Amino acid sequence: VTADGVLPCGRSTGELITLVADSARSAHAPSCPHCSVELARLDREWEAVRRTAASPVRTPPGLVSRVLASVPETPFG
Amino acid sequence: VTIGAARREDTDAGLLGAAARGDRPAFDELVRRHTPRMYRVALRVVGDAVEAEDVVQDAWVAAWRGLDRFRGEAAASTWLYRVVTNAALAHVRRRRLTVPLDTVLDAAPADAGDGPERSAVRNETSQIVLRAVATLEPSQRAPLVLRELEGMSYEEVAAVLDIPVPALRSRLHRARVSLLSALRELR
Repeated sequence: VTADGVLPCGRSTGELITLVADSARSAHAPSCPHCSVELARLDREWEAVRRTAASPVRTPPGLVSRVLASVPETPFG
Repeated sequence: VTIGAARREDTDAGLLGAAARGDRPAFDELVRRHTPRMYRVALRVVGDAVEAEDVVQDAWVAAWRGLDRFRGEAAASTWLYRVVTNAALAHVRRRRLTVPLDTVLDAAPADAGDGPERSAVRNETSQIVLRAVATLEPSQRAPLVLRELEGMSYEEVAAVLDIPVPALRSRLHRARVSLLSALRELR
């Protein structure tokens, strides 16, 4: 199956990626063996995206001060 | 000190309205309040820590100069997300004309604070994901970062990007497919 290929049941991988990314459910997928396998695979792959979303990003020290210094006193300065 | 304390209790909308009337201390409070979020978005869109700082500075200067265009029709946070997203995309588009992509990726997620080993794994994962994001077309990057990494709703992202929700869903669909392909190649 390619990145956006079609499963034997007719569902596209793209449809399933949307379900995984939105943590959504469909009436068809749970009972379909093709979708179940593909959903599990996509869910494992998408976990990296979830981890990245949850990973804090450190603001560089002094950035706020540098911004304040770089903004002109007046909007037209 | 009294003025500063009062500022900290002001709402974003109140500060933005005051800043639009030329109140520089109000604007400065917005900078202090929102620079971490602006930096996070910039880093995730441009994929480079140093360039993300430049983007944030550009974004705040653009915000200060464009305050007269903020008329309160959008939430303050929507407007600020829009400003930094536009600055980041402009930066990416300029860079694509001059610098090969693989020379600029140097993202710097913070330690998660739950032990060096887990933190290292998490950072490695984040590095790979941000590298994958950086392979996407700019038109796909912004929706993906705002929706999947910032956790915004479809409606919020559509408002930031000023596009209809169906168009956003279409872009996101392509972005997600492309992202997973890129992740497979990078692993």
